Amino acid sequence: MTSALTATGLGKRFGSKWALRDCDLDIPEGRVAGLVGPNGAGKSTLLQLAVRLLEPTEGQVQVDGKIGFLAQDAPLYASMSVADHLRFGRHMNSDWDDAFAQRRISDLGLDHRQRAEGLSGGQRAQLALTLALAKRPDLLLLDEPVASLDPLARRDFLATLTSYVAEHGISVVLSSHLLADLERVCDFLVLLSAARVQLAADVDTLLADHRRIVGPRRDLARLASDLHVVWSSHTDKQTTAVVRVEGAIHDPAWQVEELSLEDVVLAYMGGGPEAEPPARPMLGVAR
Amino acid sequence: MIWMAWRQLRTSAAVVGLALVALLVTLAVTGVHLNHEYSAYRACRDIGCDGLLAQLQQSYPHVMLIGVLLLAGPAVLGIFWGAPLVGREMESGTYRLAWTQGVSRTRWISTRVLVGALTVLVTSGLLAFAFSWWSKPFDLTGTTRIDPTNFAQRGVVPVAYALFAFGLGVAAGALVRRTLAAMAVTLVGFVGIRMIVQYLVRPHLMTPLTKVVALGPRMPLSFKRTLGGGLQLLPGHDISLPHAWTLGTTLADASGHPPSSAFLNHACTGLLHIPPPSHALSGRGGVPPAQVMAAMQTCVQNVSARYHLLVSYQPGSRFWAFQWIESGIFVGLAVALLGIAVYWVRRRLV
Repeated sequence: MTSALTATGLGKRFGSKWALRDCDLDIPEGRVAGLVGPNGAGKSTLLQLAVRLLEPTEGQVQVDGKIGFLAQDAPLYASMSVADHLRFGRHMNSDWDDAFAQRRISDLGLDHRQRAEGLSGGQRAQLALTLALAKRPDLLLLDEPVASLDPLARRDFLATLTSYVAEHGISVVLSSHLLADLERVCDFLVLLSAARVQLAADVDTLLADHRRIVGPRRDLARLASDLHVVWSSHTDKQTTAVVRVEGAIHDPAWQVEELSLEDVVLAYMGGGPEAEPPARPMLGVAR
Repeated sequence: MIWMAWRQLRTSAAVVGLALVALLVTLAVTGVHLNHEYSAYRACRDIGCDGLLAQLQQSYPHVMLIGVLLLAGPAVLGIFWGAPLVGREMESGTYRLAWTQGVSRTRWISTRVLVGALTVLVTSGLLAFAFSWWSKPFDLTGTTRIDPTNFAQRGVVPVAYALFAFGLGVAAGALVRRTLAAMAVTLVGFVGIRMIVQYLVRPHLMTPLTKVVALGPRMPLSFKRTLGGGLQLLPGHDISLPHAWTLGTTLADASGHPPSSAFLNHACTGLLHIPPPSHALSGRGGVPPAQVMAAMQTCVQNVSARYHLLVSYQPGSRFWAFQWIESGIFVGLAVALLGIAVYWVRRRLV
């Protein structure tokens, strides 16, 4: 299986602060990978390293093929019209699909003469996405593309994205702190926290491997060896834990529950035994 | 990429272009008339027509103010074309759009710098050439071209200044990453470097010539007392020589030494009675002006036996040599600054 994006020992330091460190990552081709983590976890840094806006301090990141990049807040030239932005794309890229771009603009109902500064947040994001897609990328990197959009615009944006991906089979890495959105579109998940990769796996695998167990209070250190505690909480009588398990849980003392993707991510971010100490990062589930 | 570079310059270039056309038309129309006036003066010069000369020299004082635009114009181009070139991309975040396309960052910055520099070159070149042509009748009838104010409005230096200001703006924008701050840096830097070169470097580009002027009763001199109470005799003001840029005037003997206090105390005894501070020919401290004048006259008479005025100057004939040397300096600075900007965008930014 080939990779869309590979990072080995990747690190980026700004001044004395590491924004990303010891990052080993392999995102397979053809996936829609969600990149989650609290603000400041290094999501933007990782994407900007991949698209070469930043140079790594250590390690390396490799991408095969052409990258389409949609930066955070969808930067556009305020005084340039929609038509000028398409011209910009055509002049700046050798393999520009102008027919696609024109079709997208009319599908969106955008006025060609409209200046970017007069567009709504949703229209800006859609125009920026059009620019990123019309260069026919092999890998699309999106940095918090829907963070500032209202729910309707968010839904439209993700619909555009999913239908394009379904049609062209490109790889996507999409960062967001909105788990609900990622759950809808992603089949691969990368969790960054405190400048490190905490988790990187297929969504299906993640869901299959993680369970919540509830039972009488007991010492989790004496659990079966194929159970890895991700997160736990104790009351006087009861112990609740999120565990990674290979196979089934046979101990009848435990009540076993399946987890949503959000539950899994929250468990990892809530400070499990292996997690880094800084803070208890909050995840905004929806606005 | 050229399209994009031009697209980002288009609006302001149109404004500057319109203003430029208006200025060029004004210069062309009035310049043709000036040349007629000059020809008329030339035709009758030998039989003496001072009236025509006076008429020529009083023509179009307002159009002459276009020269002021040549003094300020380079800074304006540097501020509005240079500073935002990288600065605005960094400030508004659009660099993340521009630098993630198929065009490499190196090509992006090189093309934008080249298109910008070419536009600056054409704009400043046209205006400088037109104004030099327009000023010619004045220059041929007595205007001192090498005088600092006129020097910067003629020939090729305005173009070099403009390129330098542009380079300074681009580099400042890349380094400070803020449009407004880069504009401020450009303005301060441009004026600073221009003044440093004009007053500290240009006088020494070529060894100044000196001219000996004999002291006479009408030669302006002033005197003052040193801290020790001795006399000091000074030229009242710089002596202006035709078509030359006077750098300084000193009092010296045949071997170049200034008069000693002892000599002056002896030669100008009359002045010792006039209480300091005092200036030549302006009676102070109750001494009647006539007495001051008489004392001064005696003094000058005594001093002029051994001493003369030494005027150091740059002759007008060095105008073009100075133009090319100074242009070389500023174009060199511009190239260095643009090189820094390109390097910074390629290697150091984000």
